[in-house]
Amino acid sequence: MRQLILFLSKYRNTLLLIVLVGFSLFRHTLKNPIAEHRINSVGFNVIATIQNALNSLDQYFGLEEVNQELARENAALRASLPSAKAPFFQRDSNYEYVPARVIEYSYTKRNNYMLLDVGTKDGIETGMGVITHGGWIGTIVETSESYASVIPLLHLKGNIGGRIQGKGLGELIWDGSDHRVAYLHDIQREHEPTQGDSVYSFTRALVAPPVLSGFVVSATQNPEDLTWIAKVNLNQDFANLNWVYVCKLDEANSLEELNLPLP
Amino acid sequence: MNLFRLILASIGVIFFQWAFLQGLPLIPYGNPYVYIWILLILPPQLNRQRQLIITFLLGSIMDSFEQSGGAHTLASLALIVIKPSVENAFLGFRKPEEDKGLANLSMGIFLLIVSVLVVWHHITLFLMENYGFEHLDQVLIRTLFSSIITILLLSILHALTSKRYAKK
Repeated sequence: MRQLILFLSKYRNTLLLIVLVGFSLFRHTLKNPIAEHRINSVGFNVIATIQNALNSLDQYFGLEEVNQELARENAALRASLPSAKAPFFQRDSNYEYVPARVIEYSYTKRNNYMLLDVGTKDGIETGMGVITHGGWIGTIVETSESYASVIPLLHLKGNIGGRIQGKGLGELIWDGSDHRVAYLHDIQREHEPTQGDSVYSFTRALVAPPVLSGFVVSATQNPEDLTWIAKVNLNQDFANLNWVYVCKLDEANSLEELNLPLP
Repeated sequence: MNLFRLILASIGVIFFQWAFLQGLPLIPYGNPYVYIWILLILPPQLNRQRQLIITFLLGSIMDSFEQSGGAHTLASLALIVIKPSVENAFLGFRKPEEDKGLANLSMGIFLLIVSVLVVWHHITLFLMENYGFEHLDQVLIRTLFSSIITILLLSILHALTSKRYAKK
């Protein structure tokens, strides 16, 4: 016993360090599989409230940008009127779009994050898609009463489906370097993407409607299986986000019922 | 520096980090992290456990803000672990009672020591954020740009706050 106490007191610094490193490593590994990280959501509400307060400062100085964004959005909505040829914003009455303010976001990291000021009290649930007039943004992964956390496209796990009209489906992947560029993988070799092709996001109907997310700049062929990899200029400026929409499918319940196992 | 002033300085630095530096549109790669200034100016007479616990708390707060798991905590702990060795390597052996900490050094030697510590902290942080060694080139680019700006800001902070440069 005496030996043990002596040992503990002699190496107390190292032991404390080991405990602290162990705890943070534990916390870090829990963050990796995005679905379950309860320990990381401790205090999520408090942190989000502080972020909200800090953001109102930025919001004030950003009024001009918000104005421009609204003007752009107005133009996009006009473009989606029945008379227009290329709809930016899908005319889909099955969805309810919940407007949300972006409290905090990053775009310079390998794995970026985003906080919205809507939560369960606005009917937001995990798994819902987030879009803007400029295209796909991300998926809701965590909610509290009045805040929600999003995994954006600019994340290791933010990949989604991408579709070029008439040329089939691929996977839209961000490679971690430039926030203005993503890559569309796995387009079949018969359909070479050409410059200017529009890329629509493609997800399950429960998540979001397809939205125009970017335009093809160039394409290279994968030497292994001859599929095409297209470089896509993203339509949405991820460095400058103010307002986004969370998509809510009106008849989500009846769709879910179809998935229930047979009795 | 007593504990109260340390807490006040921490709150100030975290506020500065979040109100002005986060999402700074200067560089698309990386972000300056000035909060490690607190770790650099921790008084050397403070005992080791308190230093570790302060580091852990500061890192955890940054992690909660950035939703980065434990990356900041781990990087900060890595910094505080090698800090005494780096100081000894550059300054030689000093008696504990003569040791006044980094806050009272002249600018040249402060920058030298701080550069080593900042690069070490940033490379740990970005590797942790990357979950491994894939895309090492991007990790290095992020480390380079972020370190340069962090070191610049830290030197400005040092010139502003150090007693050495205060008006007499």
